[in-house]
Amino acid sequence: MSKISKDQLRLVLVLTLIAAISAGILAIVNHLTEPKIKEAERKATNEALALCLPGAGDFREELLPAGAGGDVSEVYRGYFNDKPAGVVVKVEPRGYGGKISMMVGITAEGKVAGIKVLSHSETPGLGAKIRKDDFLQQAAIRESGLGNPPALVRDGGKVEAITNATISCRAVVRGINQALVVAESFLAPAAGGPEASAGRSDSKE
Amino acid sequence: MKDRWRVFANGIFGENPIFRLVLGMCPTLATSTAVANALGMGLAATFVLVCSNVIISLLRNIIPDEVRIPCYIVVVATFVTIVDKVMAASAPGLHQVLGIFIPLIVVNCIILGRAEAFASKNSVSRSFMDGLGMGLGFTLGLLLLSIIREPLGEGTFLVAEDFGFEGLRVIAEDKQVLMFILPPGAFITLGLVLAGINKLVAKLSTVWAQKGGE
Amino acid sequence: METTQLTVSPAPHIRARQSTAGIMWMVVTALLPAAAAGVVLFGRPALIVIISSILAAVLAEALCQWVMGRRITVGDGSAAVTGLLLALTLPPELPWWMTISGAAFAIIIGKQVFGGLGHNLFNPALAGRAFLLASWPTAMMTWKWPAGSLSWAGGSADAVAGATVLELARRGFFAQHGVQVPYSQLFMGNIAGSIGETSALALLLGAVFLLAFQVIDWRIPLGYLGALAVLAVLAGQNPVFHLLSGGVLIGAFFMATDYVTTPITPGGRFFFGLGCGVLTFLIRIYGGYPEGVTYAILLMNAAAPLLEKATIPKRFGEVRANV
Repeated sequence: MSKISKDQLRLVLVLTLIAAISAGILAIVNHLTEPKIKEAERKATNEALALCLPGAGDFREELLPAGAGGDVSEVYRGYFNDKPAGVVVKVEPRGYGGKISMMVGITAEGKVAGIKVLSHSETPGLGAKIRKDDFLQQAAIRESGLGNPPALVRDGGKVEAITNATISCRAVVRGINQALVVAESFLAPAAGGPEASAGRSDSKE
Repeated sequence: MKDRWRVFANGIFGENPIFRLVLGMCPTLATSTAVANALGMGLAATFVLVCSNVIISLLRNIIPDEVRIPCYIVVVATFVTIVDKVMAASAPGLHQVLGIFIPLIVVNCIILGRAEAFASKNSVSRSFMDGLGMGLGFTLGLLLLSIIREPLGEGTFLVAEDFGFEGLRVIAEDKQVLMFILPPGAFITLGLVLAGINKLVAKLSTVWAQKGGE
Repeated sequence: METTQLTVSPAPHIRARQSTAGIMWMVVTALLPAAAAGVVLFGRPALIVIISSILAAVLAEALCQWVMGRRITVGDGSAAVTGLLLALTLPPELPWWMTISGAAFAIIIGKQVFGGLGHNLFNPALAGRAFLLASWPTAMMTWKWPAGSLSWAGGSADAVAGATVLELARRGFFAQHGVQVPYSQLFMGNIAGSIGETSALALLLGAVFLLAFQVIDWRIPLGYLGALAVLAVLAGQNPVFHLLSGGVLIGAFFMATDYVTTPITPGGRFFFGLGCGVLTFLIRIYGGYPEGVTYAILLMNAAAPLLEKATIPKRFGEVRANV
């Protein structure tokens, strides 16, 4: 039986030692930065939520309802002084260059209150313009809502697409429509009467 | 001391990683789209380069030859992870833009190259100066490219949202030359700058040769 | 066997009396009908694009050669041809400064950087066009129908005003509205598109001229147009529509036949054209852009050396036994 030589033992030892020290240092760094990273993420999410649903101060994440569109990833209920103020839906429809991650705020009355594109990989100068107010703030989108779903002019609606960026614009509109479907299932019980919504917020606390 | 400064200057001019060694092309092409990105990437790489050079130089007599590459990689990866975490905590916007290119510093050939070619054979102070010079040379190269690409391609200059800089608009919106922030623009800009620098170096070396002859 | 292969065809060789300048001016002549048609259809803006593109290309060539310390060879007409070809692939109302940037890019990056005429890998005019398309996509896709050319669309004239027929086909507009652009209109070029690409009649006139004087090789356009038509038929689409719309004709006869960027072997040329046709069709049907001629030819330019290598003809008397 061949014995493990001293040299071989040294190889193992040195590499193990270096890896162990490295792991120790990383554990400390992780411990120090983790809360800050979480905090930054939470802050970014809250800022986006507040922008999509102005007037709501407090947001709570909810479970996705059954029948939500395939691109819907998160749903938040917005509250103002513990009264439901609407819903914010995070959707990720497929655009021209990849997923367009966006949030759509819908008021308790079922109107689109605000849209924020969080990230996208659309072509600079063309599809990338979906972030701009010229597109997102046009009347046909601002005034859309439940019972008045947005659609591109080309598809028989009123939303003006950005020149040569139809695919990107259609993706955004599809995202809004999926958000409206989700919002409907959340807002429907609230529309039944004030008690229903009061009861729900009680049970939360 | 003079020797240390020579090592430092070598990284910036004589063996500039981007323009003389043509190493680390992947992050160079990808992150030189804006001055802020270039600076973030450059400084992150510099930090990793200096730290890994110092540690590897310190351990150069302890690390056995047979396992030196895994050892270097572990050291480099440790510092890269530190940079990644710290950047995510302090500049989340920049961290998101640089994305995958921060973790990829691990496999940046400049860093492993300096560990193998320099730090493993030189004293700690020389390795420190080499890391600093190479890192700053890399940063300056990225900055030079981004100073050309950002104004032409985005039409803006010095935008840094994380730090509240709105930047300057140099070309009116919709008039900017988009190609410069797209991948072909990266290759073309790098090629033209490389050509210019080669020409300059050729000229300077003939001038120096003449002076030396006198 | 150790021999350097300097020639690619079997002896004997005849020395032709053609010169670079002679060929270039023949190409210019052949392009004149298309340029004239563009100016007639789209008016003064088209003329401005053509003139500024040619001037910018010639100036850029002279300037570049002067800076690089090379002999200035603008007299051979190759820069003028590049400028004219580029102009004919541009939308008629492109701002003058974009035209000039595109022409300068075509000459400097597309040609001089590689070492000048004969050394460039890619068709300079198409490189210039690709640069413009990447840089200012909105302006490069802003189209205009010539005055009075929309009568076929009837009530939906507004909906088609800014789009080429290829874009409309892609959108499914024709099927949806049950209308069609008359073939005569497509053939005459009375449609929206780049300045020199719309009029099939003018382009074919020029093509016949070049083919008659053997300036260009018939194999390339045959392969190109043939592949496109066959694929269209196989896919159940209208081949005539595919041939007459977009930039296929100017591409097949004037771009894909460039001497420098295409294979020099007869077989290589045929396959080159074939590849262009296949790629054009694929980009039109599956790509992100409605038209694919530019990228199809540029991609095949990159493949040209490979095609050349694969299609070197046998030397006279050579027996391929020990290969």
